Amino acid sequence: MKLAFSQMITSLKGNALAGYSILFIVITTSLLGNLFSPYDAVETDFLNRFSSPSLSHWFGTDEYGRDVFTRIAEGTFTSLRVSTAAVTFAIVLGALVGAITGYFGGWLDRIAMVIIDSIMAFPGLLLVLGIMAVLGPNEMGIIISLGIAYTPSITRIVRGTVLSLREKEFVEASRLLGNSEWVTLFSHILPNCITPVVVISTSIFTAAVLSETALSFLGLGVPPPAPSWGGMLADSRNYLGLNPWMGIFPGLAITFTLLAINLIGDALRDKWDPRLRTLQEETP
Amino acid sequence: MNTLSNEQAVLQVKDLCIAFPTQGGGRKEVVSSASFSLDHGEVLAIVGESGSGKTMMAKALLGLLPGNGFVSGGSLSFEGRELSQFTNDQWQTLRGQKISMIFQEPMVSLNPTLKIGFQLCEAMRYHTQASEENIKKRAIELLTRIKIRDPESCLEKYPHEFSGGMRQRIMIASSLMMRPQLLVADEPTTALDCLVQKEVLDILLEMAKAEGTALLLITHDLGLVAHYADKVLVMEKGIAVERGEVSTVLENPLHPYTRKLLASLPHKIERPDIIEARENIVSLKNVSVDYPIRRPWFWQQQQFTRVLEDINLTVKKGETLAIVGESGSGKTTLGRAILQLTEVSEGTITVKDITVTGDKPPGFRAMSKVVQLVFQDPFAALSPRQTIGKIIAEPLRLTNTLSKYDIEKQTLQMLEDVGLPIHFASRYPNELSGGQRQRVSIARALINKPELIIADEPVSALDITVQAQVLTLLDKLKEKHGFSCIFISHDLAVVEQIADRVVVLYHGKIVESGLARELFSRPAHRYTRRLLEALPELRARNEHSYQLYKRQHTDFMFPAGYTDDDSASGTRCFYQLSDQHQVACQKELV
Repeated sequence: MKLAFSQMITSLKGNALAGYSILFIVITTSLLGNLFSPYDAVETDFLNRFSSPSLSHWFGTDEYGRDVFTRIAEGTFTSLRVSTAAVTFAIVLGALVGAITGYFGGWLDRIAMVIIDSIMAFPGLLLVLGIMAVLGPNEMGIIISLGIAYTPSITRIVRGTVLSLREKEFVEASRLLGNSEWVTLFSHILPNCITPVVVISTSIFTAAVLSETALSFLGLGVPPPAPSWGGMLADSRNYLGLNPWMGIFPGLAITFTLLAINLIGDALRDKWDPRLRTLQEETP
Repeated sequence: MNTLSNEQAVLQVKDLCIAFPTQGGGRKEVVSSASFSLDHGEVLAIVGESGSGKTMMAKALLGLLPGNGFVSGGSLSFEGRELSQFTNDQWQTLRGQKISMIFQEPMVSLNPTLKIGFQLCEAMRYHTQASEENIKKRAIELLTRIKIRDPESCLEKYPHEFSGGMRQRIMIASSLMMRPQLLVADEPTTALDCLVQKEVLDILLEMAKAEGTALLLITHDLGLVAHYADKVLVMEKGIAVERGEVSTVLENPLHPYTRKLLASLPHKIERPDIIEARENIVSLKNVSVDYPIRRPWFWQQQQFTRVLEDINLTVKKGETLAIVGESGSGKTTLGRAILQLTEVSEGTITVKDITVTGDKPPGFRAMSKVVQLVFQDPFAALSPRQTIGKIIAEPLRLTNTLSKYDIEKQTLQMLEDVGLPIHFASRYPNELSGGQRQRVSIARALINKPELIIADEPVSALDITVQAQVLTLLDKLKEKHGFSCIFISHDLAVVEQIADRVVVLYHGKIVESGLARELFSRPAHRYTRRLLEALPELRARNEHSYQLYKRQHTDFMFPAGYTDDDSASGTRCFYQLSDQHQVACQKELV
C-alpha cells in the first residue's frame, strides 16, 4: 500500500503534483475547518467585528464578527459541491445527446444541433441568469442552469468523437455480430469517448466554479447568510479600506482552487489527449 | 557498376549506432553497428520488417532523427565529410541539394496548398543562384522524363489534381532537381497498386541511373529488392545481419533470419480441385451496386456512379475464392454487399438459401452465424477498451443459449486454435502486436462457426513473416472448421498461395475468372497478364536458394470476332477457355 502510494507520487510530473497537492490542502483545510472550528459560520459576534488575522481568528472576522476561515471552509464545500453536480449534469446530458445524434444522424441530429448551436450563441452567464430566473435562486437552480449552459461543449466533443468512431472497423464488426444499434453505441462506442470527455470536463469544471462564484457575487447563489466565496467577496467590497483581509482570503481560496484544477486538467490532457500524444510516440 | 569504383564511395557508413535516451537515464539502441557503402549510381536496398531500424537509418542519413534520437557511435561519411557531428546549418546546405528523400505516402508528402511548380523549384531557388528561367527549364525537363502529360501546364497545377502514382513521380522529379549524390527512398511504393508500383519504380531507377545518383531503397518487399537493387542489407531488430550482392544473397543466404524472410514469401501450394458437385454457399446473380454522387444543387436529379456491374459468381462449400483487383476496382464493395453493409441496386445475392438482397433483408443477427468478416487493419478492428476474451466471446454471448462456463471454455479453445496463449484473454488489444490482433480478429469471426468468412486484405498490413504465419493459420483453420472463404486481395502472390479459384475485377467488372491453377498459368485477358507481369517474384530453386522469376505470358489468341480490347465496339460477353475458366471480351458486331 505504502509502496503503491510512493509510486503514484513519483509517477506524477511537477505540475500535476503541484495541482493535486494544492487541491488536497484546500479540501483538507476546509474539511478540518468545517469539523473542528470553534465558531459557527452564520452566528454573529458584534464584539469582534473586523478583526485582523490572529491566533483566535486565523483569517480575521467580517462585519458581523463571523470567523472568515470557518466561512471560507464551508463556502469551499458549497462551491465544489455545486460545480461537481453541474458538471456531472452536463456530462450525462451532453454525452447522451452527442452520442445519439452522432451515431444515428438524420433529422434528429439536425434539430439537436440547431438547439445546441443556439444555446452556444448566448453568452454563458447571461444564459445561466435567464434559466435561473425561471428556476429560482437556490442550489438546484444553479446546478441545472450551469449544467444546461455547459452541455453544448460536451455534446460537440462527444458527437465529433462518435462520428469518427462510427466508421471504425470494430463498430462494423459489432453490427455484423448481430448487436443492436443501441448495444453497439453504448458498449463499443461510448467507452472510447471517455478520454476527450474527461479532458474537456476539467476545463468546464474550472469555468463552473468561476460561474458559481460570479452568481453568488451577484447575489444569485446560495441564499445568505449561508457562506459562499462570491458572496463573501461581494460583502467585502464596502469594507476593503477598513479590513482588506475580508476580501483577500476568499480571493486566495478561489485562485488556489482554480489553479489546482487547471494544473490537474493540463496533466490529464498531456496524458490522455491523442492529438498531443503523436509527438511523443514517434520516439520508440 | 564498376566504372566508377575507383573513386571514393558516395556514402560510407561504419558501425553506425542510433539510440534514444530512456526515462531512467539510460539509452535504447534502435540500430547497432550497421556498416555499408554506396557508390555512384548504385542501388542499395535495406530490407527488414517493422521495428528493424531501417527507417531510423534513413532518417539519420538526412539528420532528421525524430525527437531526441542521436547517433551514438560509428561514422557516417558522405563524400568524405563526417555527418554524425553536423550542426543544423550544415545539414541545411546538404539536404535537398546533395541528399534528398522520397517518402512513403505520396498523398501527404506534397503540400496541397502550393502549386507543383513552386514545390519543384523551391529547393533550387534556395540553394543556387540559377536564374528563374533555368530553374523552370530544369523542372520541365524532369517532368518530361517522368512521363507526365503536358509538363508545362503541370507546373501550374495543385497536387490534388494528380493520382497517387503521379504524385510519387512528381516527388521523384522534385527530389532529383538538384542532381543529388544520394537519394533515399523510404518505402516509396508501398501505398501504391502493383501496376503503378512498377511504373514508378521503373522511372525512379531509370532516372537515378541517368543522373548517376546513388539510391538507397528502403523496403520490406524482397521481390522489389531482387528486381531493382544491386546490393542488399538485411536488418533484424536494429542489427544488420547480412549484406552483399543481391544475387549472391538470394542464391546463398547465410544468416538464419534472411532464410526465414525468404521462406516466408508467398509460394504456390498444389491444391486438390474442389469437386463440382458441392453445394453453393454464396451465389451472386447480375449484381450491380451504385454509389450516389454528391449533387451540386438540391433540385438536381440524384446521380449515381456504378461501382459494380453485372457480377455473377458462386462460392462452393469449403472453397477459397480470391477476388483480385487494384484499388477502386470494387472488390471491397463486393464483400460488403454480401455482408449487407452496402445496398445492392440490381441483382440478387443468396447466402446459404437466404436471399440477402431485396425488400426484406434478413438483418445482421440472422446472418451472423452464416457469414463473418475479417478486417484489413488489425488496429482498428478491435475495440480498444475490451479485453481479448470479451471480444472473442461476444458473438457467443449474443446467442443467449450458452452457460457462462461453456462460453469461457469455447473462448479459450478458440484462442488455442488461433495459436495464442490462453492468458491473453485478459489482455487489451494495445498490448498485442499486429499479427496477434489479426489472430484475435480471426478468432472472433470463427467462434460461431460460420459457413463463410470474408477476409478483406487480411494480411496486407502485416510483416512478411507474420503474413506467412497468418496465411498458414487460415489454411489450418479451414481444414479444421471447413468454412468457405472469400479472400479479397491486391497481392497476387498471396492469392496464388491461398486461392482455389480467382476472380479478377477491373473497374467494377469481372474480366477473368477461373481455377487459380489455370488462371495463373494461362492468363487470357490483357489486364490479368499485365497484373501478373508487374509482380516481382522470387522462386525457390532448391532449399535456401532463390532467384528472381519474371512471368512472361504470350498473348492469348481470341478466335476471330472476339477481342479483349475494352475500347473496341461490340457487345460484352464471356469466352469460355475451359469449363472453369472464362474471360470477358468484346464480341464484334457483324
